[in-house]
Amino acid sequence: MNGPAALVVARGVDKVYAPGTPREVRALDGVSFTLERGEYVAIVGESGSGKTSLMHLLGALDRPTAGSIAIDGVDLARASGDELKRLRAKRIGFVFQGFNLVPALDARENVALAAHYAGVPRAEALRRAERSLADVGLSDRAHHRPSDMSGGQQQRVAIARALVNEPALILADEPTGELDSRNADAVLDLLERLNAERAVTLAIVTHSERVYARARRVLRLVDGRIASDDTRVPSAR
Amino acid sequence: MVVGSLAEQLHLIVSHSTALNRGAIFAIARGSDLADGSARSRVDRAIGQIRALRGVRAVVPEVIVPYRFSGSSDRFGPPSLIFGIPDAGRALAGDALSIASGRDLQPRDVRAAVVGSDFVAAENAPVGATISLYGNSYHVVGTIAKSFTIFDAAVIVPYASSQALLRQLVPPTIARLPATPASALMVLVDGKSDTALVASRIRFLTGLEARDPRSSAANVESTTRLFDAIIFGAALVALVVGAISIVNTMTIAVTERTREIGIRKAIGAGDRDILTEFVAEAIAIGALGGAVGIIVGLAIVAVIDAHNASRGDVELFAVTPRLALGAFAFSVILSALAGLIPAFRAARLAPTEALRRVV
Repeated sequence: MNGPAALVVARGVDKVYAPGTPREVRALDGVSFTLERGEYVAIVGESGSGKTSLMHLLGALDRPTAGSIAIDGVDLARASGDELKRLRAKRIGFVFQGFNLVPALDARENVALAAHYAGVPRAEALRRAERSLADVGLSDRAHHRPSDMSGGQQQRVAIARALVNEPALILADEPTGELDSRNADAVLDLLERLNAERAVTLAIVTHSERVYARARRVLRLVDGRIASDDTRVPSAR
Repeated sequence: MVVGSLAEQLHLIVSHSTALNRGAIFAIARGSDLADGSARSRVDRAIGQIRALRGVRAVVPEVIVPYRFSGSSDRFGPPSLIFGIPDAGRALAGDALSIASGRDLQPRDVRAAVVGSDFVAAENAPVGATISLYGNSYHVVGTIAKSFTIFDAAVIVPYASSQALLRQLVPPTIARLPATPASALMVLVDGKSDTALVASRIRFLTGLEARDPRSSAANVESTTRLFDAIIFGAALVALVVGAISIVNTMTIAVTERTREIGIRKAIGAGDRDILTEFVAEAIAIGALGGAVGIIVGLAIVAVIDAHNASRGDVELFAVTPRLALGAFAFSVILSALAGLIPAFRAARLAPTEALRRVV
């Protein structure tokens, strides 16, 4: 691991859209927190609370308007576009609500795409993709297209894609939003197992109680501010 | 593609025909024919006079008689002609025609003919067939390889036979033909002399008209240029329409896939990756479109040419490798250029903006 001990260090982060115009929106207002490596955190809040803005910052997709946020030692405000791209490709794995696999590619190719963007040669990318699919228990679906798979399977492919570059942070945006309860539990079990076995930091953005009840730490956002930050023993299952 | 092949055919015919006639002037009698019986020794006298001119290498008399088709008369293309040239004359003229099958005419041949490739197709007259020239049976002994000249539709017969045909054609009132009638004189100019100058000298001789190959070539070239301009105009329209439709397709693709672009960026794609992917897609569209266009064009051209050949008409189209390659390269390059603008837009899209879109 390069960088300091903490994976994410946010200090007084503001995110303002359309600043200085009548449409100005202050999405994040002086947010400060630290995420340690290997943590399991749920970020919760009503819609409009700033969840999505914070997720974009944690995913190195955006820069803060004021304050500082560093991910794996990279200061988002100062990093070049290429540095942000490298950070996204190599250190962060994204899991989306709508799975967001490329329909024309099979499971293995979808996973390999993330390795390709990280600069891994094609043959090696495909090998890593197979290993990653095995980790999520989908070796037998490697050559299936997304349309031939259930929602739960697609989300596991998306998790395999997030894992393929051995990231320091897995960022999941409502990962169970489109799944029934059985599949939702299976996906959460998988994410938690990866969190426990690989010491990868797991940050889940959600408003599902089912999800955040299981997290060890819950960051609650209200109107762009951190309203509560509770670390606790997860409820018994 | 179709229009282009039409132009290619025209260019082939013009360049081959110009090459064939280079250095040869056609001299014909002014007013009346060299076959006119009122001047019995006119041909011989004209040959003698022209041969005496400075710059003239040789004078070859030739007989040219129109061929009457057995089938439909509304045939498109240059007229089919029967040629008779003395054996020595063909060698002198540096005959560029090559035999495709059978053999060439030989000095002792009587009632034998060598025919052009279009003629073979139109009259179903391969080697061994018998054709009728003004009621006389002739035996096809050879066929000429396609030359893109007037000889593709021609019948070549021994000189003496052609003179007999000419005698048969001339109205009985002026039937007192010279011993060796001819339709025209082919004047071959030596390498150093100017064809235009020799042609003007011939025009000073009594009763003779001369056509300079270079001025006819210039006439043909200006026509060809006009045709090229029309084709260029048509291609320009195709270019604009094609470019607009590709820009449109790619713009729709970018808009529809905004969220996908966001996802790709979130999982690590850089601006360059997105740009490359979209330009590659535009090129793939162009390559596919180009290939389909060429195949459809080939099919249309083949159908039209087959139809014409069955009626004895000339081929209208020539699909050359440079045309097909050019058309393909054109559509690929056009697509790449037209795809660039939407691809740039896609690449520069902010990932947060792209991710906000609903699927």
